[in-house]
Amino acid sequence: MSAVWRIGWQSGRAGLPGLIAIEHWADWAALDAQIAGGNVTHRPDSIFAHHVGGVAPNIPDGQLTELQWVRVNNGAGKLAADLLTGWHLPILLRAGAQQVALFDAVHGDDLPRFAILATWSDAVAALKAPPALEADPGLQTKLAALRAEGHRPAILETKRILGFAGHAA
Amino acid sequence: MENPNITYELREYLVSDGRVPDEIERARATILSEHEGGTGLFERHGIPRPWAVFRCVYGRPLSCVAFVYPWASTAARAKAFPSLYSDPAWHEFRARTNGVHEIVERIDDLIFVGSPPPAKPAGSGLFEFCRGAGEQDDRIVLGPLEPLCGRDARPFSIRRFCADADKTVDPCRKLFELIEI
Repeated sequence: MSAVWRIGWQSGRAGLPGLIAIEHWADWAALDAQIAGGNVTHRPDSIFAHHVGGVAPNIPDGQLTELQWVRVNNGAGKLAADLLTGWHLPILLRAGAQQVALFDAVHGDDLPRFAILATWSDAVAALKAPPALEADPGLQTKLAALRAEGHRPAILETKRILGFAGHAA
Repeated sequence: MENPNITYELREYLVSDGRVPDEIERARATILSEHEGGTGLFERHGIPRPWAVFRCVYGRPLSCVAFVYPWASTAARAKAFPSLYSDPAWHEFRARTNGVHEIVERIDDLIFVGSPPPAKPAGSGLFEFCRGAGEQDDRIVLGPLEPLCGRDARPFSIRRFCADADKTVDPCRKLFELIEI
């Protein structure tokens, strides 16, 4: 049984960056044990998910972290996962991300969707990543081939959030 | 003292335009056992019958079918649905009932904890899915349940809609009718 992750985001007040809350349990039974003890409460805008790509992250509180919510066409989850692990994560690493990981949401709003977590040393480097994605010839060739084969777009929408890892009080 | 709460899963399916009847028919076939005329797929994979199935009749999104499942644990749930999804019979049935396009566009799949379920509400009438309703509301048929994920942190309840008590219909409300499976 694979580990269970809960990833959530809480917007910051007064223009401050928000918090990206990251928790994990060894498996669902471990989560159940904490629920039974009354020790699991809601996290804002959160999903429960399995880690499916990149390296399982170890992100200290206060680390500048990027969270991407990636909404996927229903029925295109496998293709989306291939695109995200094969192109998006490596492009983020080449753009300067330190740790990158992909999660497949099991519970939450707007499924199917994936979450990407990436850590950065500075926000300027993070902001240069989307143009790198759009300019990557390998990814663009792959997407053009999929369109030529008549595939629906696997990825519907991506929302990108920069914040600091941590937990709301 | 042992915690008496159980886990609930609320699956709200946003269905493509005009295909709510297809989704209800697919749900019926999946939920019912073979001797009841269904495929027996849920029974085969240890998925309990939903506590109730609803279709949206007012609110956004309108083309929505909702299922409420009580689970003994998140671990039990995590075993059952992936088991169904790995079954070739499910894939064949899903592809056949989809036809050219997917029936389901999007799913809100939320986990809650709360007291064990009461008897399923009987009869006709409309039900409201609401957040933050007080425990003392005698129209509540399920809840309040505490959410563990999703955007909305407020407790979730299902209560009977009463036109006499609710003089106006809030446009943010979501009203559902019960579907007999």
